[in-house]
Amino acid sequence: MDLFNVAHVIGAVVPAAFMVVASLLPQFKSIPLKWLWRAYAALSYAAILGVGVAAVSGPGTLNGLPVLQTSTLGLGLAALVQMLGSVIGAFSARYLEGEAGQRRYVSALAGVLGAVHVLLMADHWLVLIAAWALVGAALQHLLCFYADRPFALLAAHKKRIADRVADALLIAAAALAWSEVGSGSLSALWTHVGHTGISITMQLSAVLLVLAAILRTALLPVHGWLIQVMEAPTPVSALLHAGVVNLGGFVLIRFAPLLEQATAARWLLVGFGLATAVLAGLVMLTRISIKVRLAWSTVAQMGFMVLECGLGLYTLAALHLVGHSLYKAHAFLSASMAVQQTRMQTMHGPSSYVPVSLLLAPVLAIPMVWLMQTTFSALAWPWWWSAVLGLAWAPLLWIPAHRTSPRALGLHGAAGGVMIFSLTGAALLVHALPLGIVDAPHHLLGAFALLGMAGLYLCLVIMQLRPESLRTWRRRSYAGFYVDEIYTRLALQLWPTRWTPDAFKSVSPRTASLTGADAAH
Amino acid sequence: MEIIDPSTTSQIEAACAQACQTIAPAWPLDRAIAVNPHWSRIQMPVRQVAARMAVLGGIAVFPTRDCQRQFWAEGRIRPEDLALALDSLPAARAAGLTPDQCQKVLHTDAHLSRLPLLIDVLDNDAKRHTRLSWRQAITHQVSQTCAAYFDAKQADWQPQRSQGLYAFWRETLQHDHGIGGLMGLPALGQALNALPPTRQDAERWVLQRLGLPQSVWADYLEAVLLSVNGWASWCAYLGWQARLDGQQDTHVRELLAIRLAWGAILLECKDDQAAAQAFAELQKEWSQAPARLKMADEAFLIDEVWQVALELGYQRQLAQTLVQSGGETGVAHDVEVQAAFCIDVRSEPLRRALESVLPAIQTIGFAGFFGLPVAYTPLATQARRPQLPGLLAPGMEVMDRVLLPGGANIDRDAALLQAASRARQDQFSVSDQWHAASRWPSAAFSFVEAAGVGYLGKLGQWLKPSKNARDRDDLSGLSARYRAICRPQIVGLDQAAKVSLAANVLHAMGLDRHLAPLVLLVGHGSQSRNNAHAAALDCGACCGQTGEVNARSLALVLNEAPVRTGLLVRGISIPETTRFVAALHNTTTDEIEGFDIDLLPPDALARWEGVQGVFNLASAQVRRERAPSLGLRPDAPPADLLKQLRKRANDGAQTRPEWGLAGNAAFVIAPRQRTRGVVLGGRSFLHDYDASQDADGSVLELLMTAPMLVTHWINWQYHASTCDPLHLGSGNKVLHNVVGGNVGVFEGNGGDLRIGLSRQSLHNGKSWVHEPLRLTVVIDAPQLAILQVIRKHAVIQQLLDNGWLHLWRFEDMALQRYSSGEWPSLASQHG
Repeated sequence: MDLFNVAHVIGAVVPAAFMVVASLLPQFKSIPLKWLWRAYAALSYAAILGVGVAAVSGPGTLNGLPVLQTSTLGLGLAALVQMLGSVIGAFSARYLEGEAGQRRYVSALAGVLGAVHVLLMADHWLVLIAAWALVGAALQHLLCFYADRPFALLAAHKKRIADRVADALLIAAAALAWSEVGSGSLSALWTHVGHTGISITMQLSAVLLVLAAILRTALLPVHGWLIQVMEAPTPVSALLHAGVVNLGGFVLIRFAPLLEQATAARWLLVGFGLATAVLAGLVMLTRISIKVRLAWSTVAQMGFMVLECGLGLYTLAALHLVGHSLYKAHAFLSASMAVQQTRMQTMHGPSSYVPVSLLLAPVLAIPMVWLMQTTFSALAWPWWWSAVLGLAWAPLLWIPAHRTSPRALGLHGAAGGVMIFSLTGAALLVHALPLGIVDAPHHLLGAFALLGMAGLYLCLVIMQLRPESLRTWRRRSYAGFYVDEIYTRLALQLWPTRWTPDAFKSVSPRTASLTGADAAH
Repeated sequence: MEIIDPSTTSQIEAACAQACQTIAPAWPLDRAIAVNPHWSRIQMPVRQVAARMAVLGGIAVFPTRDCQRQFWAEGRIRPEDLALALDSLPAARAAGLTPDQCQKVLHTDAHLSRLPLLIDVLDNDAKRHTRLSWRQAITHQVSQTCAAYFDAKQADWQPQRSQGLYAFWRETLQHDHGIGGLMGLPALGQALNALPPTRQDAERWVLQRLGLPQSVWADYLEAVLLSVNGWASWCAYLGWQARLDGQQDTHVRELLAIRLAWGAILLECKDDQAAAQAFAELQKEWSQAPARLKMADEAFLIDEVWQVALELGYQRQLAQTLVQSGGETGVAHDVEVQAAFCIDVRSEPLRRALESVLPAIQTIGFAGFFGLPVAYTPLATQARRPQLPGLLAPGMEVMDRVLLPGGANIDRDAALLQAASRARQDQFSVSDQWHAASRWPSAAFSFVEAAGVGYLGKLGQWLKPSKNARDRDDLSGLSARYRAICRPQIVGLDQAAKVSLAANVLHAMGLDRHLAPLVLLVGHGSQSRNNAHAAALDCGACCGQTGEVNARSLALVLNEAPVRTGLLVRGISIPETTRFVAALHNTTTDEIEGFDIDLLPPDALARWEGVQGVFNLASAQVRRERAPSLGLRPDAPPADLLKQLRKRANDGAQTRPEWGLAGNAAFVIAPRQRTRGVVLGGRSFLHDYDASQDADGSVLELLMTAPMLVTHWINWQYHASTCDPLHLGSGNKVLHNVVGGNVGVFEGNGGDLRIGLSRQSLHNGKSWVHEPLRLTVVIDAPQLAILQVIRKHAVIQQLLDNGWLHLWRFEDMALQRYSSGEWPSLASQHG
């Protein structure tokens, strides 16, 4: 074993090991809180360094640890998640000052990160299943940071049920694959599928795996817990939305060699992904509080990421995973700036659009994207994806009703053009990053997805032009399409739990307050 | 619904109106001013209100007994305070309470349970322990509906709401398939047919069916409103604004009807026998309401004693301090600088520091809107906002106008203004365009893929806060070139009106004579980041904004030559060399920032620059004084301390950027000589008042009816949020979730809208930073003048006689306290 290999193994193992240490440190009650946070920060930075070492010494197998393997994407995500962990830790150390239970918090936060690192390196079914279950277990402590809040307990309960079902599905998927491949190793699985193609058993295994990923990624109809974790401190939401819920995307990308051939599983991914992206996207537009809006936005974004996996656009899914993490972590941490932003928005004035521009925008935007793509990188993605992107950027060309002077129109058109070219250019640029992922676009599914996204765009247009005709849809959207209520009711019937505070105690003014005396330690 | 006779209708009307009147308004987050949540109940004694709140809403008004026990154990309340408190409360004397009894009670609970509402007595099925209580579920449902109805800024897909709140709710619920399933009432859908079609029907339905005695109708309805007190307070705010505009608003009534209609729905889900049982239980409980209220009133006597005892400890010190200062006579120096500050408690340490550094400075306390009843509209926007106390409606407009140092040039300035407006609108338009990429779902999906990596830098900013100066949001979208020359100015006033405004303001500030060459108008503003409640740290007198706009527009008027000529005619002579300069006291970093310095003539500029050193020394002194309360070392080098505070101000993870008005406990209305040189610990509002210049008592009347009410509102907001953080405070900041962009916050997912101050604004994680004391107002004016104001204004009379605040006055070198029209000496009380 040469030095390079040793460095690689150490670099790869360090992040998980350091996070385990950080997770155990709070057990030592003699360490003051301030030093605990500092130790966490130091370990977290050191973990990032470890990822760096592992990346420099090249992704590959780990000598002596056959069940683990590093990959470019895995290391990239490890760096990403640990950076988020550092930021969220630094934020929390100041944000939670004076809150009771900070030791528990440090422990659980580090625990989640440690488990994520293992998951990112898993090359064996058992490691994968155990690590993913561990992420959920550590997360439970963060979700229930305020254990006296009924909705926090309910959300945690719903998450627990989804996790257990996902565990069962994964175990079944593993058993099927193992029996066929003769080994629990994932590398062996890729080789097997590559050589012999996909059998019915493996099709079934893929379907089970995909269902587990859907459960863990909080797609409709099991999204409720993700929406309701506003009952935990803001940085927990940031961690969850940016670094945990999207792990399903990573697993799906990792299983690309299998999914490529598993048609039924891919239809499932596209079906659930597209439905979630469209419906949750609509629900998001009706939300009246900032954090819940952000949460629905995550659900929709996860739908989109899963959709991309189903379409075989794994590179885009990976980029989505990274981009969304960074975007959403920042959005959550800065959620309280909503008041300042609203104030600024009020200065900008209300927005309504010139009707014809809503219809013309995609007609202009789609050729722009297509032109860019065919000029610079024809192979980046199929034609139908250029159309999806064109629909996406079309709102940049909507013309505000109060800005119709020739000068304003000129400025608007120029700015819109520059934005669309820059965004498309950025998409092409990041797409060219060597992530070591092979796409497998599926054209029929692609056309289906394009249809769905066109439907969503149409909704947005009608929303602007004739809001009264969508009245019923708005009401349903505001109610989240009643999906979570059904799931919650069912969950509580099948798996009852005690989540409400003791009936309701007679609220006495004598005991209602002074909750602060016990804080700090 | 059966036909009912007109007299019943009018009684129902009266009961509903009475209940709705009891709710105090809560301002939106971007205009967050402090309000006494019991403001509409001040016609009753505090103890009676405490009893009503406990019995009707489970809300605490007095400090908790746990809290008082701690004060007692720490010696914060001394035995002599307790004895004196027992002695000074007639009811306590009559009841023959002893200190022993009082101490024993601290270890017990008052055992006052809330009277049940219809939805509570109907909440009795076997499975109720496995789900939310109906009270919680209904509060949640009503809250979500209200949020959808009142939100104008958050949701991109807005509902139609033309038919009013009640109809909106009714329609929402009729199509809802969620709550019934969740709460184990699948038949709820059919029950909804029983929904009373209009607000009036709902009111009538409930009061007719419940069979409660008419005498408790209003109380029952108030209790119903208290179950959604947050949204009721929001509706009361809308009503308050409507009244200022001379209009009416019925939102509180509609909210009440919604809550009542929920009773009808639940009832419909029960069989007749269960319904009859529920009615019987409710009638039984509420028939005892008067007795329960009386019992609570008696039980709270001891809490009132402890409240007084807590105050006596503070008052003893206050009295000693004020008497010791001995009304330090006259300033020995020629006054070189005059500086008018807001009455805010945070001005006191800075004024004290400035006076200690520069004896030739005279500081003045005045309401921070400087008497300008204005609304301000930033350049090229429609974002008009009030910049005056919430009690008043704006009567003048301030807008941004171009003003260059060389003087006005109408054509050039107008062209510049137009160019600035256009540039700003262009900038806004482009930024909206970019915003569209993350606003609409289809766009946001691909946006994060292409541009998400760009947020890496933004995330990094959370690691290390910057040391930047305050954000100037009003100037956003303007280039540096225009930022420098656009200044807020009063518009639409002719010369005579300007002169008259200037004369009134100068007279009220006592600046109509003996003007120094440099007169500073110092507003204040806080600096914090990622803080939904930032406005609550800004100037309350400016309706939750900074004082910048008021100070600047007033300084510009007072520096205008024609205005000065006009003032001369009215007998106010401003020396040629005197310049007014607007400034802002940054209450987070304690820095002083000047405005429009470029307009000053050379000699004034030299003077301004001359006092910068004084500002720096004084600011550093205040920062040292504040450091321990912020967990910083006071002995750190001054530059370090400033750096740390600047970082704190820019730290988006900091839930306690500064302590705001925590600790506020006194309001001194007197000449500065009365307080100059004494340490009031940043707990006192200070307003200058010279009775000798106020022969007709009109200034005193103004002070007692405006600033005194404002300080009382602030004082009681802090008091209420400390004593009942659950109902009258906004809860834990780390769970806050902004609703409707500016309407308010939820704590977590939902529940009622939360009003008042967050826990982090009052509590440092180990102990309460704010002591719940009622305000002690100390006035330096003749007995008769004060009594005249009290007699003339029922509100003042009520505040005093019902124990909402304490009133003292100076009598030469001693103090007297107001007690039901009498003025016993304080010395006799404090021994």
